[in-house]
Amino acid sequence: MAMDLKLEGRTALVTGASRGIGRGSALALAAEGVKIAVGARRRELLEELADEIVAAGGERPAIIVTPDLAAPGGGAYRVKDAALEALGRIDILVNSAGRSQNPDYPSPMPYDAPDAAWDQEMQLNYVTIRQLTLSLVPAMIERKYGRIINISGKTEPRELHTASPAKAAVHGWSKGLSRQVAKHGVTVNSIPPGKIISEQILRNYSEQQRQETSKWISSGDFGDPSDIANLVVFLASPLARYITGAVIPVDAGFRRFAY
Amino acid sequence: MTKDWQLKGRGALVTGTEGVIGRAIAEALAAEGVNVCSVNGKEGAEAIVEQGTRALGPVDILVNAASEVRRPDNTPADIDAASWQAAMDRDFELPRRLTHALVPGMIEAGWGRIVNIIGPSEPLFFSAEYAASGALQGWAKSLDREIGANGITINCIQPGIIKGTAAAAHYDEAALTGMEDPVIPFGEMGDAADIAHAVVFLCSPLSRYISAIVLPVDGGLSRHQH
Repeated sequence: MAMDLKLEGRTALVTGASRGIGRGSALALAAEGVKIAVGARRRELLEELADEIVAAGGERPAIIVTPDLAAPGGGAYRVKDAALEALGRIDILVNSAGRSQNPDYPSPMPYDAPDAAWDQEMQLNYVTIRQLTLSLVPAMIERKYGRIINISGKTEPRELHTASPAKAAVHGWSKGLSRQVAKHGVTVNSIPPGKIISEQILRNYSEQQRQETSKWISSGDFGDPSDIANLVVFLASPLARYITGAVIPVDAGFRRFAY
Repeated sequence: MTKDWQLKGRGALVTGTEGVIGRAIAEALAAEGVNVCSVNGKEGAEAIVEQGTRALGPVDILVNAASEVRRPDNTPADIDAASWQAAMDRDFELPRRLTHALVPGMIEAGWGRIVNIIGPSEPLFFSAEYAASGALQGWAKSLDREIGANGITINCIQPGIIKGTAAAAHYDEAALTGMEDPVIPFGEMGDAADIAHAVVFLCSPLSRYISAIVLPVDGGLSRHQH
């Protein structure tokens, strides 16, 4: 009613924006008047998203068709160049490109999985985030405003997963970075999502598995991308200036650890 | 552009409004159109619940903001049993009792928000309040398991060093912030409003999927990475 999030006119780059949490975050930021660039591999899905944002009264986002960010060398710097060309500057970076499981391999990951399987997950879920962020942070420091929001992953691995160590790397790296940039008006936070209905979850969970898993979610339900997006919007705002270096689960009590 | 946190017309009971954090929370919720009953944290749980329900009818939101970390004057060995109990009574028992008294109404309504303002997980000096605050975190997590399916969330916020609080009086701001590598990475003590903004967010229907978290609002003060 009375709170002004002061996001109008700011700029944001959202990766992994074609589906799920990235898409939800892009919609929510655009609804607050943020000028955005959206990145993903599938152009047609980004065009659909752009149409939806325009239909909702928002400004048409810049579309960045990215290379496979899990491939060796990733493609972070190309994404950065394209985003800066489109928006001029990036105030808010939502690192949402990522996954909890590599669809080319079974789960749990076999002991004899090739090193490439591990390298891909580390590249996508950590190295790309690090490269993109560190390439944008100096300009944020200079302008005295920046928001880095990482969509990470759970810290309670159930079995041998290639993604889990990469998500943990994001948390550790973010904490260190946050302490260094806090005095320059830049915050760095990570959101490990719980079970959020998305293309990935629908692919990885059968209906029966979803019901079984729901028993461990306090609310009893899987969440929606908008549940994550609402926190993304809050963290992006100047009103959240004193929240940094935090890992903030959005999981309706799913994880076991208490604090 | 103003954000609609969808809180208009709800009823909130806020304790500890004699302190800067409690007061800022009460003001921020009121600015969102919430009917706020502010109570002094020094009263007993029954009196507070009665006061709250008389003023509001159903209580949709409970903000336990009466806790306070104090540095005792005496050495640990000199702290008597009554002082230990007093810390436990104010920082654990009071919020627990208030919550337990109000949860049945929230379950009936199918909606509720409980936000606890607690001490840090990283003690900077010896104080009985850290023990109480640890107890509250464990209790909140377990209660979430019980009530989460009823549209109720329960969360904890850990303020860093906030201007105007009793805890802040223990510190010299220049010593915390003046260095090249400040103890508070943000470089300043926080404002009570920083806590209040986080409370408004967690009370909103828009944060329905966030529960049983412990959120530091501390300008990066805490060292632990999660």
